[in-house]
Amino acid sequence: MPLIQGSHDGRAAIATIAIVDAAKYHEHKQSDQSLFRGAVPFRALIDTGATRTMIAPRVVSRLGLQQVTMLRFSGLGGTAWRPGYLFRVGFYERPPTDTTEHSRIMVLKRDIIGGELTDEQTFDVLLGMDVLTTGAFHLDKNGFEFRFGENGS
Amino acid sequence: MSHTKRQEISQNLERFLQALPTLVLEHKGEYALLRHGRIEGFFESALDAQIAGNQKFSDQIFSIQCVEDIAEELGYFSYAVDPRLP
Repeated sequence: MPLIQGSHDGRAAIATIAIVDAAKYHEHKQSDQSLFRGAVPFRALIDTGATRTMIAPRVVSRLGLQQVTMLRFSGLGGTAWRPGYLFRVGFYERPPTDTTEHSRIMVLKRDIIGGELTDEQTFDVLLGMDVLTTGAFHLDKNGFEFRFGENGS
Repeated sequence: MSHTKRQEISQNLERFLQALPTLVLEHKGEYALLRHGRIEGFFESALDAQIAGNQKFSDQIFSIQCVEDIAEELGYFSYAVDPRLP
């Protein structure tokens, strides 16, 4: 089963991921075009306290994602509704060093409905439990690894 | 996103929330496809609902809501969601 490895600085674990519109991914399976040509690597903060994956507004605009739903979140000030998008998450086997480098990306089989963050953060994506529980996630003093589930999910 | 689409999603959400207490009894965990404040069908997955919406409505003016009555948590980044926003 595919294995992704990464590091942390003692405060945050960051993975390099790709986001793909779920509908485009579905269409892509019927063609032989490379969906990931020119894919944009995003910085994803791994957060086991988040039940759902969130994306920054710049990710939405960069990929031209279309809002499909509204998601309800509870926070310090009560409940709020945020725009929701349907996408797939891909992990870079090795983060690209520049935009021309061809990278191998492994895509989770599960469609993710993620919400949009209100503000831009230092990261692009908040990678929540909806993604992490699709496989085996391990974190220790040396770094982290994510092993895909048995069926590639 | 166009103003029309945003309005549609907002209107659909309002109607969906009115019907939610009844919907969870029979459709919990399913995805409702909504258009003009009406529920057009229920689907096993969000992608199935989106594909059905794209096939049925060429203007792509529709939205999807999961039939569930729980709120998501964002852990440490809870402050990332501003409750003052609509």
